[in-house]
Amino acid sequence: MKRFYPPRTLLAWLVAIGSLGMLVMLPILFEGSYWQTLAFITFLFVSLSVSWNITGGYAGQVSFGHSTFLGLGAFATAIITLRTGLPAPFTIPIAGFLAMVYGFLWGYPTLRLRGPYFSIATIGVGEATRLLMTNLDDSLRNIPILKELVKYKPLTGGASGLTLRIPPDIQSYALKFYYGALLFMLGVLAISWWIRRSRFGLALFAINMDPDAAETLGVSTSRYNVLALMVSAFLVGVVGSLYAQYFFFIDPREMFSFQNSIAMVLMPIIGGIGTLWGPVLGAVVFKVVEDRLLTTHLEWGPISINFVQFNLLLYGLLLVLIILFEPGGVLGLLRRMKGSRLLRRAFAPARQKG
Amino acid sequence: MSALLECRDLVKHFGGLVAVNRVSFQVHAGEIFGLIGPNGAGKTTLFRLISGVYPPTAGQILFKGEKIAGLKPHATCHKGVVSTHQIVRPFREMTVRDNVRVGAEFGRRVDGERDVLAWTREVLEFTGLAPQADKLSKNLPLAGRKRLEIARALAANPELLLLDEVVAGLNPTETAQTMELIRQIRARAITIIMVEHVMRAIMGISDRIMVLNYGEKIAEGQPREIVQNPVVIEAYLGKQYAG
Repeated sequence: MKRFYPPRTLLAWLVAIGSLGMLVMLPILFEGSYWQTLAFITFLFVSLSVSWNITGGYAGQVSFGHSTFLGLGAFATAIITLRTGLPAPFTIPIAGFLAMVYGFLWGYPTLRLRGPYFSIATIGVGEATRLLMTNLDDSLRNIPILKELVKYKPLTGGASGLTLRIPPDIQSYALKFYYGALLFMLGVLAISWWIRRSRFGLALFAINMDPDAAETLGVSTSRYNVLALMVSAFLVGVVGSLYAQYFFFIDPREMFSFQNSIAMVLMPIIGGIGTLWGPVLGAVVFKVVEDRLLTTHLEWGPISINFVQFNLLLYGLLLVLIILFEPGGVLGLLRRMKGSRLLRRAFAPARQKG
Repeated sequence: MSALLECRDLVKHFGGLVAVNRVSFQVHAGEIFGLIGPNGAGKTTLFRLISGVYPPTAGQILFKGEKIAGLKPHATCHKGVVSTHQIVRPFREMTVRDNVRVGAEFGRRVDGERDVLAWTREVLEFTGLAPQADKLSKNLPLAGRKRLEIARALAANPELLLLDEVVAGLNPTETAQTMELIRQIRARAITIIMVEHVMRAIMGISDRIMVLNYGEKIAEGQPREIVQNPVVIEAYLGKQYAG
């Protein structure tokens, strides 16, 4: 391609390269671990948001059960590392794979349901998985043969969770994971970008817009829906694994929580569902708002207010506003404000390379 | 002459309602086969049985001698049976080109690997949608969306095309253009079954016509015979006009 890049495209590239450069430099510029950890967790949440968007945004199957993949990935890594001594990074593909298999297992039957019925089924799957994993050790102890599994070491740890071995040099360990998560996030974005332009993406968008019409034109809706969920599950499983390795402690009640599933639904919706960059934007807004509210503490004379949990109220309000006034999310709002060709090109809902 | 499509004693119940009752007919390769009947006669249900949206309660559907009853729509599409929808259902947020591409990518494959983009372009040219190719399909007027519905189905490369009321709601000029398009489709050796309420349109173009009433077949024959058939006149206009 010999075409001269229009200045706007150039600007977009500069912004992209600039922000990437800043992210690479961040751990060096801010020596303290707070910003680094915030950035790390934001990378993970961007990855979650973008991964969820493959099923929820592209194929239009709104899943409230994605915490099952997150938890499974985290526990796969923790359990394998604790029981076999395999170095944790080697368990990443296994974590993703197990999440993917689980995605197939519950996606295959539930994806036959349409729209809200699928979503309701996923809530059930999510809650059932959470309860099962939280009580797994206790349940196994009562089964004659299987109790050997939990005789010496816990499986999910129940209410007390699992703790991984903390490495001696925590600084360089965290730094490695910072860059690892950054790379993984870029990888997830690349996958999401590739799907949009691929034959696979065309099928997903067609299913999203009209499953019956897609089916008449030869698209096997059940097959592509399940495939999309499996890709999404794999990526979310890897995030779970990275989370466990970075924080060393995981609790089934938290990893499999409904709140995590909700977060994965909220982030893309806030940012702009079904788009490439919307879920990224949504995740950043989500994490930053949460962090600011968690750490803000207002003192006003004798009154002292802190905003822990206030973020949930704010997200609820945001969600209502978005659904009522701007289904395109923050991105849609930006696009409407600017009317810019660049934004429209970059974020068009379902455009495919022709 | 062997039949391209053969339906034997097709029955479809919805609860207590018998939508299609023991309907048998054959469609030959290269034909335009018209399907008419008053509202609620079971025409669309019959289409949905053939294309696989519903499984039949009883009876058999043979396409090129092969049983296709009970297959999912995407599977019948891969066999070569493609249907359009009565109420147009474009992928609204996609361009016209991408709409057609869905059919081209996922429809029936022939002669090895065909270049999907070239085929998409060919279908757009053939159906006259090429100038609108980059518009979002939701921005097309009704006639355009109806045409897109046909174009998408053609892109899936059917041997048998089921057209459900493709001229309903169109003005006389647009109707004439669509009829011309259907003739051209037939000239490409694609067999057509069409449901239509616009009598002038369907009588002029069909080789044979089948009439359904209350889910049952009441007549079959050439258009000339059908318009004179007292049973058909009764079904459409009431007893006092028949005979």
